[in-house]
Amino acid sequence: MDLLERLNEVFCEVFDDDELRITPGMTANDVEGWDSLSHVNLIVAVESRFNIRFSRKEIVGLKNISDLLACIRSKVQQ
Amino acid sequence: MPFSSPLFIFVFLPFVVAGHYLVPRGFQNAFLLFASIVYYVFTDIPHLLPVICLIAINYKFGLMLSCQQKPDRQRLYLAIAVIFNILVLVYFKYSTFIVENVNVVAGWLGLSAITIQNIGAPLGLSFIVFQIIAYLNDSYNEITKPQRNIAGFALFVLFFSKITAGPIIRHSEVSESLSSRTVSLDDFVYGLKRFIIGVSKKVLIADVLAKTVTPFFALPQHELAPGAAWLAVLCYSLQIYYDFSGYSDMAIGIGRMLGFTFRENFDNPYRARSLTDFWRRWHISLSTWLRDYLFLPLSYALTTEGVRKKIASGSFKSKYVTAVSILIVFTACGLWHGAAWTFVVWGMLHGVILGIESLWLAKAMKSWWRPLQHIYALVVIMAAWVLFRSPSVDFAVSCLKTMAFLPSAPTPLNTDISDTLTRELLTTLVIGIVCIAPVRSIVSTLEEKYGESLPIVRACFQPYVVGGIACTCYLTLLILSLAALSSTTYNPFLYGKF
Repeated sequence: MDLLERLNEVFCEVFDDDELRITPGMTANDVEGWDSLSHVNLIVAVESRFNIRFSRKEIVGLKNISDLLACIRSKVQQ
Repeated sequence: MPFSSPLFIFVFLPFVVAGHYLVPRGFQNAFLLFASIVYYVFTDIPHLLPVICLIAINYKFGLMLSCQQKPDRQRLYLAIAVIFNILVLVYFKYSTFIVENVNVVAGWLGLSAITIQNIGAPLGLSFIVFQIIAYLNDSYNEITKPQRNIAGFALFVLFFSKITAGPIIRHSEVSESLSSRTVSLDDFVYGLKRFIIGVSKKVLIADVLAKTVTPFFALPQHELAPGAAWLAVLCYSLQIYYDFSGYSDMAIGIGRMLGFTFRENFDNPYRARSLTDFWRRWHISLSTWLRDYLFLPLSYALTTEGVRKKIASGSFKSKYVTAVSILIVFTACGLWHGAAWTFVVWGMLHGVILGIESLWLAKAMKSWWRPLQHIYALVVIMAAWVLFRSPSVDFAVSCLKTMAFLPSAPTPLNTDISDTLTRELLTTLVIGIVCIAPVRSIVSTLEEKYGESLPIVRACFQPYVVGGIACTCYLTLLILSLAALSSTTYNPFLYGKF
């Protein structure tokens, strides 16, 4: 299962929507229920699923899903 | 010198706007800084020196953060800088409140009370400190480059357009404009229109409603009656919106006339469908500040390794952490608004309801009949405003009981409010409520539906007709506002004391 698929699973869990399909260009505006409250839940869930940690600077710099994917990829490969 | 005063509108503002365009480009920032200092002197001269010191120290902090390459050192400098600014705020704004409460506890323990000289807070200190904390964090996170020009930094903090009550501007929004700005005629006219709307909201609606609100909240608790209470709370809900959003319109308008674009601070907050939605529409520069500089860092800090293990094992959900975080953030938000228990309880109440919405209610409400969502939001918001406005928590509780028709006084009082409902008040109330409705979208729906079929409607929507009507409206509003200003000296600016 590639990274995008695994990340999609996390999104489905956090936003309680099995039909959700994320694409690299998507931002918070494109996913219903993705606000600052759920953002924290999402980050914690991603960190837990991939066994990584984001720094504050990295979290602040995430603009869309492809940024998130790139950040996860760089940490998982280490 | 409030914005809605003849001195500001007829003397200060025209002089500053004209001067800004007459001085050579390289001197524009210095001129605006000079004007902002003059504004501060007129409004709060005793505190000018402490504020200038605060600016100088934080200018240094900003530069130190950018020079420092080691991440640990950088984090330390950021922490010291933020704590320093918070302590300044606590000292000026909360010393008296802290000492009062310490004395209450001392009284219980039979100890002697501490006396403290009354320390007034500098104009706009709450906004200044929050703006600086945002700047320091943004510099640290490399969202913005630190301001190397000290006059530019001083102007960023002291700019008279937003010093009294925000918006809380981010450095990234104005850093380009600070170095060079051009203002088109469209921008200038837009700024002027926003200013006129702001003055009208304040003078023609908020100040009129204040005449009903102030006497009610000065009544003794046993004299509260349901009719008067509901009327006063309705008036106050509208007053605070028009007062504060009117002020924001003026701030944004003046900024635009001088080449600065500030983000919107309000987005029809009374059209919210939940309290969560309300905070996306009310005092947006504050709610986004709380989200970015308090809620998010706090939530991550509270998600410790132990908590993560529990989440991973399924016995705990991360939304429990965010709910606790929301409660803490909004209690702090309440305290930020004022050094009194009414504000703290107001904030906590918002925090509790927002927490409940985040855990369960928001999802449940999605299937509710839409008008019911709006009614729920308005009831919660208005009930909370009672706390915000009341002179004490006791008064607020009595008022809320009265509004719920629960007996809070030994003898029920006459609920006749016909004396209070003057023609002036009724007209203002109606206009106030109508202007909250989605007027623009109703007008554009009318244009879509009937524009083709009815020539007269089509004629009304021609650009020159619309322009003509708009121009007449703005002029009328301006004249009415100036007339109202010159006929009264009653100018209660609510958010000015924050």
